[in-house]
Amino acid sequence: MGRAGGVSGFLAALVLSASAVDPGAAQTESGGSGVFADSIVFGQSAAVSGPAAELGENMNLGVRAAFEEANLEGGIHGRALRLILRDDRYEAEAAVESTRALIEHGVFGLIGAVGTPTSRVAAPIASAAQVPYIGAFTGAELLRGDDQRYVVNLRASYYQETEEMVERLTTDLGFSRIAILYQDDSYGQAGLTGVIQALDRRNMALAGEGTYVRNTVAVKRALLNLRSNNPEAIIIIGAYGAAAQFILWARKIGMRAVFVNISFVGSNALLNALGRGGDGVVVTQVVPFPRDTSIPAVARYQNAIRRIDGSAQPGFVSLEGYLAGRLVVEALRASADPGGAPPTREAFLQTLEAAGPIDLDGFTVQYGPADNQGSDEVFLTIIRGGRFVPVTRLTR
Amino acid sequence: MKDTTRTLDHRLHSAFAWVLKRLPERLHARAHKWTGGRLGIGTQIVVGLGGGVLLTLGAVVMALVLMRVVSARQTEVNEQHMPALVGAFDVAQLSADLVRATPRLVAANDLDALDLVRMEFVVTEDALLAAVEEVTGAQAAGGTEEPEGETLQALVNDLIGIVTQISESVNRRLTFRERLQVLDGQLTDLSVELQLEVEQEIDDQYFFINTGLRELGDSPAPVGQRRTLSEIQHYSGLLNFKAYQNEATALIAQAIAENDLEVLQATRERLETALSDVVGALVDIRSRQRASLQELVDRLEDLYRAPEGVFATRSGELEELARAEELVAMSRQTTAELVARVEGLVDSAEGSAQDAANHSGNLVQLGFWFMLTVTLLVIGFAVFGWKFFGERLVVRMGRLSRATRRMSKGDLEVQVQIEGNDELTDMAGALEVFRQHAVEVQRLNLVEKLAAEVQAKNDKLEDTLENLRRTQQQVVKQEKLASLGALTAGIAHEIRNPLNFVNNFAALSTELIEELREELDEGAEENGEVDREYVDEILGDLDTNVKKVNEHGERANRIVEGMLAHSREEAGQVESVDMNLMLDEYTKLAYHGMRGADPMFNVDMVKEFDPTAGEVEAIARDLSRVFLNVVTNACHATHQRRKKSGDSNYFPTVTVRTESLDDRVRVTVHDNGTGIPDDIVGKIFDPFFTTKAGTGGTGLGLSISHEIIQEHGGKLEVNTEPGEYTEFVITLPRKGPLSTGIESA
Repeated sequence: MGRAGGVSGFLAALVLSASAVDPGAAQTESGGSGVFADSIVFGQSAAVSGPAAELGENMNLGVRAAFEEANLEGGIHGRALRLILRDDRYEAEAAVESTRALIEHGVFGLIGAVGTPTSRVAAPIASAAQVPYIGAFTGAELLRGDDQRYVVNLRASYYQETEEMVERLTTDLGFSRIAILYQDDSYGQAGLTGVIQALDRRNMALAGEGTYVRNTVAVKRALLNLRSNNPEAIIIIGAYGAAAQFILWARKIGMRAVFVNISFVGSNALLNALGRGGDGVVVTQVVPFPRDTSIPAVARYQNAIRRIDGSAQPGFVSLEGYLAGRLVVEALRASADPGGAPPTREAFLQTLEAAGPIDLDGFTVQYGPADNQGSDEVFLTIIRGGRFVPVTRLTR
Repeated sequence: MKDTTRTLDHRLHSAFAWVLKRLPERLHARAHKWTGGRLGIGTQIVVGLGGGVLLTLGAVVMALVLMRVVSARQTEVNEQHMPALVGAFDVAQLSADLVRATPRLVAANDLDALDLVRMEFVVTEDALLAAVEEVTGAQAAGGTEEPEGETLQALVNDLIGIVTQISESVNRRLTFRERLQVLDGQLTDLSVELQLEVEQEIDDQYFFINTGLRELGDSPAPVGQRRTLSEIQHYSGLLNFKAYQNEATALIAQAIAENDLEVLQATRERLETALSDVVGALVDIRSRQRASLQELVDRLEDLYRAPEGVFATRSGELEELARAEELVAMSRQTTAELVARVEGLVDSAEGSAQDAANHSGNLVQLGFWFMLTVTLLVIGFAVFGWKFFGERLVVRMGRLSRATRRMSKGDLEVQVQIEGNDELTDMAGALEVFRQHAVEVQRLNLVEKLAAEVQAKNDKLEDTLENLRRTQQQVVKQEKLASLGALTAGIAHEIRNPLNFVNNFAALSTELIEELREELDEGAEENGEVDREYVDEILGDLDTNVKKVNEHGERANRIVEGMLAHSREEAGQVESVDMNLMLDEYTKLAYHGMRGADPMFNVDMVKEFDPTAGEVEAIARDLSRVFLNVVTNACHATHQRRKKSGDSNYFPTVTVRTESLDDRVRVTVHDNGTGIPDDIVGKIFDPFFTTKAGTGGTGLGLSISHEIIQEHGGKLEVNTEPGEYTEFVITLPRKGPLSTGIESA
């Protein structure tokens, strides 16, 4: 009797699962590619909690601003752009999970990921699924290369940033003792390698190095160690919390070194964390100054984010998110069939590769078959009077 | 040997002969005796066929009985042994399926997959139970070996029990696994939490010891306050804590992945140590941090030690794994036992089935032999029935029928045999009587009929003869008319010459008479004197003229005579004929005849006459017809060739020649005409053969000529070359078989 019940139960389960699976299967038809009759869906796996939360939130803000702007103009030939966000807490394991979940859900592409350790594991998953991995907020070399067709980088690489840092420190200021503080993960390693290579090119060596554990602000042991090396400048490859702590404590114990941060630090967050003690801190940027409305892209960006959030302040991260979003919009519009045929990932990628220079209203990107990085530009900013100021060179 | 064989052959032969001939006769005789002589056809047929029908019916009944027995045996096999066999095979098959599939149960990765596999098992189990039911049911029906069925049932229940246990074990293991995964996640989180907490505190403490600073707003504490034993103890406690905590976390992670229960036990020992070290390290840590760290350590310890913690879960999982393997082994063993039992069952079922099959096989064989015997008997009976009654009847009826047929055709001589004593005998007797009557009547009619027939035939023959005669006369007349026609033109020409002379001389004589009259008148007027000389001269001329007129008149007369003679029907007179003269004359007639018929005709007529040819005794009229015919044919041949060839270099030539050969004369008529084709040269003397059909020829010319020459004792021969020439050679004796006619005349 129990057996009979088991069989009918099994049959019932079959029927249920069949009816449950059916709409899913239908959805996979176009849903697998993230393209629907009225929308194109993108996914974002980024940290919106934890110490790197501001980065994820701002990337999300920027991308959404660009999408919303495009949707107001009619979307992509009638299809609205939508963005699904999943929190990965800036943890690689969580990034794997959320990236997989987004791909299974069916997204046209992944956009606005935050971080090197996360992107390091998420990008291969996206590539394997042949899903474009666009505009990750990282300059790590490991996302760059002609073998990474599905990874579309917007920004200059960390190596380009560290090269610019070393160039400015040695040329503008004539420094020779340059030390480094880096996060003890792949992001930090990428920065460290970039700095060492830049110094090597100048026949120089690091004046000292220190590390801290990711997702902590335990930087003070490193600070004490570095202090003993008496560096003229310290390049910080870290997150804003740790960087701010480091700078504040360094100044507290009387260090006079110039602190140079990399774009990933999260400039606005850094500024907030430093409070009034941030003057003179240098940050390299990979997008234009977000308050420089003389650049049309920046002006549009400011309007776009305010449309989403009236109280939103312009920032480097959200501008980068916005530009990534704009890149997607432009490439989709160029590649999609105006007649309404569903856009394809292949067409999207081919358009990018073949388009030549793409002008995003004053911010130009260019891709090629062996070049998956759109911009090579590194911008220099410095905190003065509690706010960022764009500069072209460093002065004492 | 040979003799023996022959003797044997002979014996066999005579035996067969006896069986086929004598026996039926003797039987018949015996039957005759039994039935008092009278055995009707109906009785004969009933006896002949009835025996065969009875035998066949008997065979059918026997075959039906046999078939019933065989089918009963077969049913026994089908109903009792086959289900048992099939069921037994099913049991073996299904239990093997079940056991073979158990690893899939064990291999299930999650509870959902396990459920699916389990469902499949339920189906197989149901089928297995049904199969066992079949076997035991069949055995119960067969009323044999009840205990065997029960054992089988028990084994199957055992097997299903084991499989159920396996799936339960796997179910438990998977539950453990799921819990372990949750625990793993918890461990990672806890580890991060611990690390962050400790890391930050270590960093802060280190900085404080070195700088005396704890908060950004603080001013540095003096060395005496920061490098105290308690601060350093706190710092080293934190470092130890971090180290032991790392070790403990690593050991827990190791335990989660451990595959060996004993090693897991060992890991547990090490972990206990590590955890006690962690707790030991806590002692040095300042109480403020210690509390929060203690809480984290408790959670860590709990994660491992709790009843649903890592250790219990992992060891439970490993135990279930081992248990499942053990159960799988048990299921294999049970199945082996089951299969062995089933094989025993199959063997016994097969034995029973074989017995039943053998039995029915024997019956079938018996049936076969029985049927064979009956068939042979039926055939034998049919043969004897045929020999005994059928053949005799058919033979007698055949005789009677033949006799009747012959009589109906008028043959009344046939004697009707009267034999036996039945309806046929009666018929034969009646027929014989009828025949004898008929013979009498026929004899009377026959003589008269024959006489009338002979008379009629005679009359008919006479009519035919008369017709033939008339036809013959008609044909001969026609031929004569035909040659007369050919002559007419020639004769007209021949006659014209003498007539011209007659006319001319007559006119001349008239003038002379006028002159004479003038002279005589003149003389009377003047002085009566006549110039006598002149008159004599005129009279002399007149005399000559009259003679000439007379001469030419005679010639014309002769020609007409000849023509008349030619066409006269009565037999001609034998006379001496000048061959050259006759040939010349009829050559001319033939030539002019041709010219008369066709003005286009022309030929070079060459005459080579032997002056010594002389005369021949012949019937002039007949011979002249021959010459006319042969020369006309020659002219015709040249004319034909000229018309056919149209060759301007062709000169038609006919040569007529006479030669004296002492007592014979040879006449040759040669032409360079068409010649006669080889295939018809032999037929040209046949009556009615003609190559000139439709031109008025009768086809009798050469035939008659040939006949005439033969009558004269001569020969008519032909030499010819088709397309070149034809030559007719007539050889005539000067005195032929007709010559006596002259002397007598």
